[in-house]
Amino acid sequence: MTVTVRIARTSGEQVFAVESLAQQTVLDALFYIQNELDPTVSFRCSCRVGMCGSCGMVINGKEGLACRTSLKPLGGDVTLQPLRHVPVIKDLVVDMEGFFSKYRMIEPYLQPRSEIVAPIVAPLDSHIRQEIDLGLECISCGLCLSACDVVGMVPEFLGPAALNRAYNLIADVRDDKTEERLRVVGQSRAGVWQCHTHMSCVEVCPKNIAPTRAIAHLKRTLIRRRVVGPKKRPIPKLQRILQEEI
Amino acid sequence: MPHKHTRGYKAFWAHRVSGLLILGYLYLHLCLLSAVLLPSGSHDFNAVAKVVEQPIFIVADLVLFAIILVHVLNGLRLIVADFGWMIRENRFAIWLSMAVGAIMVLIAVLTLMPHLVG
Amino acid sequence: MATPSPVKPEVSTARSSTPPVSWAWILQRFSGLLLLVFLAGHLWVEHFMNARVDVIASRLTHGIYDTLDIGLLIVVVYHGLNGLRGILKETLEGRAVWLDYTLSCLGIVTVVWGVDILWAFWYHRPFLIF
Repeated sequence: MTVTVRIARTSGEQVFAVESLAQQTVLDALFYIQNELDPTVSFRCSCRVGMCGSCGMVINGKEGLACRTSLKPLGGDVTLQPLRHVPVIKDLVVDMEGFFSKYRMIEPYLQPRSEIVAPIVAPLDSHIRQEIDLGLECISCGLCLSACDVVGMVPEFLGPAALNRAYNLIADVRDDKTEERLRVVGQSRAGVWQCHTHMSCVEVCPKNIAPTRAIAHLKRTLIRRRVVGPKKRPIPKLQRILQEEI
Repeated sequence: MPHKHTRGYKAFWAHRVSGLLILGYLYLHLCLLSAVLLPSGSHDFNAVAKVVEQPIFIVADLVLFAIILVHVLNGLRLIVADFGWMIRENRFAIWLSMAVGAIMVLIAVLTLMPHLVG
Repeated sequence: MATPSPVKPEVSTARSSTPPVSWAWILQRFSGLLLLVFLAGHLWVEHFMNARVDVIASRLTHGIYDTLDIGLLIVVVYHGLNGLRGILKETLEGRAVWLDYTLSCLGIVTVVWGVDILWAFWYHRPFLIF
């Protein structure tokens, strides 16, 4: 079938006619355009199997990974636009610095509690693991930030990906920085209170993560801390939990 | 191509606009009551009641009821979501809340039918 | 296009302070639930229980019905103006303290106005509005 691909390029919209086979993806069409029709069309990609998160773009008005979006269900007309809420560098290539700077604000890596001297593994079937597993799959593709209309209204808002990561680390009993992280996610303009529960992030996430669930959990955690104080997690108890489950 | 907004985003605007309309109605409600109660006003609630029983006011009441229901049911859905429930099922939750609202408006229309047809 | 500005934490990261919560956000939920109860009561009393106007007017001179309406008035004014504040805060830079003062004054004036209307059912004329 012949597919009309409209690309919102930096120089304006450009239309390409692409001969496509069944089962081909949007990324295949982009490769065809770059190889056969116009080598100056710019886009990002790497793994081609939906695990690197490089090829995020707005496909027919909705965020998606080019490599995981089939051409066939889109019909004969495909419009490709760069992600929203981040500056465009060229064509479909955006500057993800705004996305990652928000990520960095919550220090998105495990900072183990001082009493943990040897690596502690949370086994796959343990309660701790099941609690954090729901959000661990994030590939930082930035689709949620683009879909989030709150980021459009309040640019400081940390956004779904960073808050989801913060929730994962806060839910992890091995992490030491719970208080600091909560202070960052509880901010009035940048933090969780700004979320309007549109759940657009949940709808576009290619990894089926529900950042809104994480944000709701963070709100409840913050309220519980204020009303009844922090949950005490003494060292012996922590060790007991982990040993029981390992 | 304009961005395809999600159902949750549309529900958010419905919530916001209905909330502002209800706030506007609150002040309208107070103004009307004040106008009747003013020394220069009629003080005659029965006369007012005659006026507001006209079909046009009944229809306006039903519209107000529908707007309040949009805000109430959407608000309840948001509170449910704050507990982490019905998040992946959000599209269904919005559909469900509006369906419940539609049924309640229908019941109100049937109840007020005698006033509507005179 | 909205370009994200480099964000700095607004709050101190000193270890002593408890992580911040938004009371406006929490109270909006609680007042919303409370409104559901009050509004159902208001509609029942004013529209379903013997809806003759003089009956309603005489009923409004009884404490329990007045309490219901004054409760509804206070909660609805808080919920409505707090919602408006949330919308305006989204577009305003900084903390905009003047907005909080303005809306608080507006809320107090509205409640006094509404109580004055209820007062009129006791004394057959409002106390403040002449």
